[in-house]
Amino acid sequence: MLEIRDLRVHIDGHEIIHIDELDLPPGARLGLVGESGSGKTMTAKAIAGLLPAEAKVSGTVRFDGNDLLALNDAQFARIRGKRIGFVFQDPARSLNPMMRIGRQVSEAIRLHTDLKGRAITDKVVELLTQVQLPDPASLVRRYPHQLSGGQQQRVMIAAAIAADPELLIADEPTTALDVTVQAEILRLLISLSEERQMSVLFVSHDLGVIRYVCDRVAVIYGGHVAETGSVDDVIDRPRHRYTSALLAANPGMPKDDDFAAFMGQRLHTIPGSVPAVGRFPSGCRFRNRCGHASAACASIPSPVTGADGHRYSCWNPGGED
Amino acid sequence: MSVTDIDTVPDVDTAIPAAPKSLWRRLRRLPITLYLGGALVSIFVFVALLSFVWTPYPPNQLNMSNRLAPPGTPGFFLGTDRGGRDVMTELMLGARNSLYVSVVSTVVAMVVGSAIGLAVAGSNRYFQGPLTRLVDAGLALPGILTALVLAAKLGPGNTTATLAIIIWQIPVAARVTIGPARQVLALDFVEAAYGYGRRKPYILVRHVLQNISPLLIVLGSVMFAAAILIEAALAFLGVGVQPPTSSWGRFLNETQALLDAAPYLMFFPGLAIVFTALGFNLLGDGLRTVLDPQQSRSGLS
Repeated sequence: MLEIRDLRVHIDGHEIIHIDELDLPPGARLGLVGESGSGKTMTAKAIAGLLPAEAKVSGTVRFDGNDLLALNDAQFARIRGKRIGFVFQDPARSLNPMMRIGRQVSEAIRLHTDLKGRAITDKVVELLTQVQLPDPASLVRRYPHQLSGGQQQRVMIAAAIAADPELLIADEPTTALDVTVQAEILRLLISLSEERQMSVLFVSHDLGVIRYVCDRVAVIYGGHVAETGSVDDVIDRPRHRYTSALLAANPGMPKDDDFAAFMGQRLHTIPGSVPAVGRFPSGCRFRNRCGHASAACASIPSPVTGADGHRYSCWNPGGED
Repeated sequence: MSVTDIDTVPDVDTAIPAAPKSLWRRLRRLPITLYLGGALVSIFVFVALLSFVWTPYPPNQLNMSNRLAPPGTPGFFLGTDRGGRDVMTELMLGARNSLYVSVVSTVVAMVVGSAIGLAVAGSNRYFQGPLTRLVDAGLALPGILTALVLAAKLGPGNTTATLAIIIWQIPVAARVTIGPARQVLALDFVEAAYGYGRRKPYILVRHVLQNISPLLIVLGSVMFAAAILIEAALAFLGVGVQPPTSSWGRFLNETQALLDAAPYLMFFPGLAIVFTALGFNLLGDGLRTVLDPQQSRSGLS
C-alpha cells in the first residue's frame, strides 16, 4: 500500500527527516511514535504532500505502485481526500468555524465523486451515522462550535473518509481530547479501518495508544526510524536503546491496586531534550542522550533486520529477539 | 501498557447540541451604536430614494420673490437659498447624489480591492513582500490631488468624482484585506481543506473570504462614510457634480457667499454630511462589535 524509500525533508538547508525504509501493508495500521520534535507529524504530512512550499521533499513514497513525490500539485490534489484521507490533531481548529458541518463533510464528495444535490446530503448523513454521531440529519445544519471536541473529531473523521480513501493518515487525532473521549475515537478508527479494509498511518506520542490501535509501529527519533516492527516485538522486546528509554519513561498502571508502591516509585526520564534542528550529533542521533553509547556510536548505525520485519539501527542493542 | 481496559469505558459523548437562542433575545443584546448608525443610515437612504418620487418642489424651481426665506416660512419648511429654491428639496436631491456616488464607488473599490488583497495574500512567498509594498505605494496616493488631475483630464463631474474615490479606496481595501487573509491562510482548517484535495484559489474564495467577511462588512461601512465625505469635498471644490444637479458639497460651497446674509444656511448641508458620515461610522462600529467572534457571545453568528 505504502512503501517509503529514502524520504528526506530539507528546510533551510537542514535535513529534518530521513526515513530510509518504511512500509505499510494494505489494510494494516502503522503507528509512528516519538517525542515532540521527533519528526513524526512532519513525516505524515510529507507523505500527504501537506508540507509548506519551503520544505524540500525528496525520495520515493510509493502509494499503490505510484510515486506520490513525482506528482505535481494538481495530480496530488486529485489523490488527497480521494485515496488518502487526513485527520488532524485539533478538530476545533481544523473545522472552518463559519461553515456548516454538512458542507465541510461533503468537501471530498463534491470534489472527487459525481454525486449531486440530494445525493450528497444523503451520503453526508450516512457518514455521520457511521461515525456514530447523534441526530445526523439536524447535525448537518449545525456549526462546529455547537459540538463538543469528541463530536468535532468524529466530524473530521467523517470528512476524511467521505470519498472512501484506501489510506487514512491520523495525526495525533486524540491528543486534544479528554481521555474518555479518546477511547471512543480510537475504537471508531479501528472499526472503520476493519470495515473498510482501510490502511491507517497513526501518529502519536503515546505508545499505549499505538499498541491499542496499531499492528505495526515505527519509533521515530530525530527524523530517523530508530526501530520498527510488529507492535508486540517493538514494545515487549525493544532492541534500540531509544525505544527502551521511551518505554521506561512510561509509569504504567499500579500493579494489584498497590497505589502506595506505585506512587513511591521513581519515574525514569530520558536526560536532556530533543536537540534543535541541525544540532543532532553525528553518527547515531540519540548517542548524546543514551546511557549505553560507546565509541562505535560516532558512526551511523546500520540497520539490522530480525524476524517479522523487526528492524532497528543501534550499535549496542538491548534485549534479544 | 495501561490501555487494555479502554474497552470498558462507556461512550459519554453523545449529547445533542443545544438549540440556538431566540431571535428577540439576540436582537435585544445588540449594541446601541448599531441601532443609532442603522437609524441614521436608513433615514439617509430613505430620503435619497424618496427624492425620486417626491420632493416638496420640483428640482431647481427658482422662486425669485422668496429668495433667502428663513426656515419656518410658510411653504418652505427649511427656508430657501439665494435663488429662492426650497432648501429641503435641495437636501433631498443632494442625498440622492451622495448615495449614487458612494454606492458605486464603494462597491467597485471593495470588490476590486479585496480581490487584489486576497491575491496578494495567496501569492507565493517571493512575490508577497514586493506586492504588499506596491499596495502600500497605492495607499500613499493623495486622493484630492488624484481627483484634480482626473478632473483636468476628464472634466469635472460625477464620473470623475466616482473614479477618484475608487482609485483612492482600492489600495485601502486591498491593504486591509491582506493581513487578515494571511492570518486565515495559516489556520488549521485551511490545511484541512488541502487535505480534502482543495487547491489555493478555491480556498481563498471559499474559506478565506468567508472568514474575513465580517471585517469586509465593517470596512465597507467605514468606506461608505469616507466616500460621502470625499464626494462632498470634491463637489465643494468644484471637481464633482456640476450645476444644475444638487449636491451637499456644492450647496455648502454656495453658502460661503452668504455668510453675512444667511449664516444659518451652511448648517443644512453641513449637518446632512456630518450625520450621514456619522451614521455609517456608527454602523461600522456596531457591526464590528457584533461580528467580532471574540465578543460575539450574543451576536449574529
